[in-house]
Order: sequence, then structure tokens, then C-alpha cells
Amino acid sequence: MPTIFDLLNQFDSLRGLPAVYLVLLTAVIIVVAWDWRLALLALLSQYLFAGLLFADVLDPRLMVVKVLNGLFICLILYITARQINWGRLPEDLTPPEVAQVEEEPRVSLGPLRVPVQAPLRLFLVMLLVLLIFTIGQRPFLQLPGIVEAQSHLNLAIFILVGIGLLGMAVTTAPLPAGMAALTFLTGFELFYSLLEQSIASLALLVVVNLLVALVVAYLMQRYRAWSVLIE
Amino acid sequence: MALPLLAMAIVWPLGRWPRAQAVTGAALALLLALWLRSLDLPAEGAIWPVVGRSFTLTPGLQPFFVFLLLSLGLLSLLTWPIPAGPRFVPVALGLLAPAAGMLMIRPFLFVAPFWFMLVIAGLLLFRYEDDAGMAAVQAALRYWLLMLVALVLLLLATWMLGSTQAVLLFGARLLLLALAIMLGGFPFFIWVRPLVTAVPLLALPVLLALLPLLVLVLAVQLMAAYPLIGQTDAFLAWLPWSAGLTVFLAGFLTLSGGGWRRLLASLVLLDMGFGLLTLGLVPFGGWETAVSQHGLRLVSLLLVVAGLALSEGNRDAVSGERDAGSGNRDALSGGRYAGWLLVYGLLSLLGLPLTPGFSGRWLLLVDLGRSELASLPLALLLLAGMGLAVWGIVRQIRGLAAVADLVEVAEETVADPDRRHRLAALVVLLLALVLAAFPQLLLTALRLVTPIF
Repeated sequence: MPTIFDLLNQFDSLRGLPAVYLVLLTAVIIVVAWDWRLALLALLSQYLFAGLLFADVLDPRLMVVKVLNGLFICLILYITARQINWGRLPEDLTPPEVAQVEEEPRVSLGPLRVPVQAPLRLFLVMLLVLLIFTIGQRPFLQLPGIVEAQSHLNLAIFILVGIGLLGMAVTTAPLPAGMAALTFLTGFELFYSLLEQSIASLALLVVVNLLVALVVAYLMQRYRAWSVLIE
Repeated sequence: MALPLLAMAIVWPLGRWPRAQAVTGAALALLLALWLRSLDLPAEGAIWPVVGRSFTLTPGLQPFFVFLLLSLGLLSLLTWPIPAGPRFVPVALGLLAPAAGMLMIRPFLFVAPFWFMLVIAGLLLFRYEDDAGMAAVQAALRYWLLMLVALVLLLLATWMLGSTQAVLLFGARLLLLALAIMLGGFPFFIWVRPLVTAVPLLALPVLLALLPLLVLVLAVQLMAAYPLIGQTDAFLAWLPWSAGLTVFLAGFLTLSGGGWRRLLASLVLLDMGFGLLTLGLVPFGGWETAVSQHGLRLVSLLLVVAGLALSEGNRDAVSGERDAGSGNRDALSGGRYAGWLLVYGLLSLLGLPLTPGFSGRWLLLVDLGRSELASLPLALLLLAGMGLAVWGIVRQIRGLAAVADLVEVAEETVADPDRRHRLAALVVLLLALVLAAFPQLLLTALRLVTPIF
């Protein structure tokens, strides 16, 4: 069975800037995707790619804890999303009940029925990414604790924190907002791992992440409760 | 820290019997307060080491925790006449565990998770079940997301404050940002108004008076440990403006109408703006003023809660409806005394003269004049905010004056309003007038919890 170090060697070509771009891609999908299954898959991938970035900062054995934590979080969110039918209406609703539920308005883009907010979100994310790539590498925005060889981490942190914050601001449903919050937290953890690498801090952040996932699950259950949906 | 959790475990199963839960919760809070008060602590405080960290209960924190316990005991007892749902009493008692952890743990780096646990407990207090369910989820989400950002800032700030001198200043700025979010300062005030409309009445004093008070105590502890924080440009320049703009915006929002809850939300926001301003006074020795300001908000909110609850209860008695509403209905329809009590509570929240809230505002103004924070533009902002809020309240009352005439007819023709409600409203109103006439009663009581340092 391959060890952690063997696995890291296998994915060596993805470390550094490629991992940053992959993390960027997943973050954009989390904020823009209107299908929660796709967004959750992106979150899962993000934890795996972020693990490669954490490997630049932490001992690989501690990095694995971060990745496993992310996988547990995705599992919690997956079970919750299944329980609420991925945010869709149950099939056994009567037409009068369906009429009472306000669904997000959609527009047709070719074969796709896209929520009206999705293009706006995409535009905002692109704007933010452009901003981050333009000024994120300037000397005055260099984060403390990052040496020159790790300059890609600076970019990754800005991407995760920035897109996470944007996602939290533009969504009103708990699950997408929660996934954006987890993206934001991953960016913060990456930065914090540069500053503080004690086991206690690691455990603390693991607990915070799990609490965030539980709160998202709780609010999501409330959000799709029938007493709330059908008034 | 474990005892509040034990108390929570005891009262939670009593949710089916609200009165038994109310009395048991109040009795347990009282017992805990008496036990805590009886502890004979050494001057340096009692220290409990846990997993390499230490929890310290100082003789200064002791009366503060007693005050918290008594306040929560009172709120627990009030769930008898003012239903707040089966979760309220256990969650309110359980809140004390993370609250104690937050103020007692050292190093400060580990304060943030306790704060987050407090926020999560607060989320349990929202009214998800009734007809405002969707709005409650949205409000809870907004509150939680902002507090998550505050948590991150707090973690970073406490790490920086505990590390080298080079990042101390940046840490102080981050800390101020986190405090502004937690205390609802401009531009992070967006969680305050939705929260007011999305929680049961009795949760308002917990979330908007006791939790900010805890944040204030934490801030003062940090300032005592790192005196440089209070001398940074962020405290001297940014904080007064954030507070002033919050007050002004809140005053402006009172004009938007939309019922008593929305008016209450704006006035709470206004008071939170003043509360944020008191934070800037702490480095200048205004610690007692800051505590008074937050303590008097608790009193004013209790008056408003009593007024709204009695109005709604009385109205239900008149109309025969038992389905208590959100407070958006016409409060004066609930009986004259309850309506007066509500308006008086709102005026107290605003801090007008001849109300219990005035003494806090007066102390604040006196301290502000002595500090380096005072400036003419800030004074104008505060005055404008207050003026707009007065106008907002007057508009709301004027709008209801015509309704009140109709209600008098209704009361005469349909049924007598419940006399118990009328009597209760009158007693609370008289009590409030006594507190307004003798402000030293409240201020002395609040001063007892201030010698934290």
C-alpha cells in the first residue's frame, strides 16, 4: 500500500501553481454552479487539491488530517443534501403546494435552464479573479510568513478567501453559502498554517470546520422544512 | 463551565411543561449564582489547567458571572408569562459554558472557538418553526456568516497580539474589525435588524445585550493585556466614525416604518452604535460607562419585551385569538398601559431623559467629552441619528393614534381587556419610572459587576 509520501510523489506534477489553478477552478464552480451536486463535487476536489498546497506548509502527516477533515465535511453535507433532495421539490407534492413554493427564476441558455443570478455570479467571480491576478502579487500584498519559494501560496490564499467571501455574499441558501464559507476557511487555514503549526491550532481548526459543516446541515434542514417552504 | 451544561441537561427534557421549565431554569441559575458567589477566590484567581491551557476565574470575573446567571435566571422565569419556545431556557443556561470559557481561557488564541460556540448556541434561539421561518433562516445565516468572519479575524488578531511587536499594530486593527462585526458597527450592522425580527422576544436581551456585554469584557481583557491596542489609529480614528455612522443610519432607518419590531430593530441598532462608541472610551477609563451602557440596554429591552408581550397577550384576550404573532401588529391595540410601556421602553432604548436608559447615555456623553474621540462632526452625526429616531417613534405613534380610538370602541363592545395584563403593564411601567427617577439604583448595581480589573 502506498504511503502518504508515495502519494505526494505521484502527484508531484500538480504541486505549486497547478494546484493553485485547480483550487481556483473548484472555487469558481462552488460559487457559480446552481446544481448542488456539482458544487459539492467541486468542494470535495478542492479539499484534495488544497491538500497539495498544505503539503508545502505542513508535515505531510498533518496535511492528511486536513484532507480527511474535508472529506468528513463533504460526507456531512452530502447526507444533508440527500435528505433534502438536493434542494429540489419532492415529487409527491400536489400542484397547489408547488404553487406556494417560490423557486428561483430561471432563463434559457441554449439547452440549459440557468438561474438568473448565475451569469451575474460568474461575472463577479471573473472580476474578482482578474483583480486578484492583477494586484495579488504586488509586494505590499505579500502575506507575512510566505517565503519567495512559496509565492504561489499567496495567490491561493487570496483566491480562496476572496471567492469564499464573494460566495457568502451572493447566495441566500445555506448550503451554497456554507460551501463558500468552507472555501473561505480553507484559504484562512492555509494562511494560518504558515503562521502557527502547533497540533493544538490544527485541532482547533478541525473542530471549527466540523462545527461549520454541522451548522450548514442544521440551517439547510430548516431551510427546506415544509412548514417554512409552504406558508 | 460544566455546571451550566448540567443545568441545561436538566431543563431540556422539561420542554413539554414550559412553566416547570421556567421555574426550574430560574432556580438552577439562582443556585449556580449563589454557589459562585460563595467561592472564596485567591487574589490571583483560581486556575484550572486543561490540556496545556489554563482557565482562570479571577475575583473580578466572579461578580460578572453572578450577574450573568441572575440575568439568565430572570429571563428563564419570564418564559412563564412570555413563551419563548422549548429551547430557550436550556440554551440560555448552556450559553454560560462557552461564555465562561471565552473569558477565562488563556492564552487568548483559544478565545475564538468559544465565541463561535456561543454564536452556534445563539442560532438555536431563532424562530424557525412559525410563519416567519424562511426569514428566520435567512437572518440566522447572515448572522452566522458574519460571525464566522469575525471568528477568523479574532483568531488572526489574537495570534498577532501574542507574537512579535512587528505585527502587533496590524493585529490591533484586525481585532477592531472583529469587534465591529460582533458589536454590529458600521458597515457590518446588516445582521442586527433581521435578527430582531427573527427571534422570540426573550431572546433579544440575550443576543443583543448579554452577548455584546461578553464581547465588551473580552475586549477590555485584551486591552488590559495589550495596552497598545487602545492607542492605535484604528481606535482613535476609525471606531468613532463607525459608531457615529451606525447611530445615524439607525436613526434614518426608524423612518422606514413597518411595525414595532422594525422600529425596535432600528433603535437597538442605534444603541449598539453608542455601545461601540463606549468601546473607544475604555482606554480612557470609561470601562464603567461601557458596562452601564450595555447593562441599561438589557433593562430597556426587558421593558420593550414586556410591553410587546403584554400588548400581544392583551390583544389576544380581546379578540379571542390565541396564536401569538410577531409583534408587527398594532401594539396600542393591546391595552393602553401595555402600549405606553412599549413606547417608554423604546424611548429608554433611545436614551431620552426621564427614562432608565438616559443615565447610560449621559455617562457616555460626559466621558466622550473628556476623551480624545470627541469631535464636532461626530457630535452632529450622533445628534442627527437621535433626532431622526425621535421623529421615527413619533411617526409610529401618530400612525397608531387613530387605531387606538377604534380599539377603545372595540374594547368596550367586544370584551374587557384582560385585567391581569393591564395590572402587569402598570406595575412594570411604575417600576421603570422609579428606575428612571433614581438612576443610581441601576448604576450602582451595574457598578458591582465592573471591577473586573
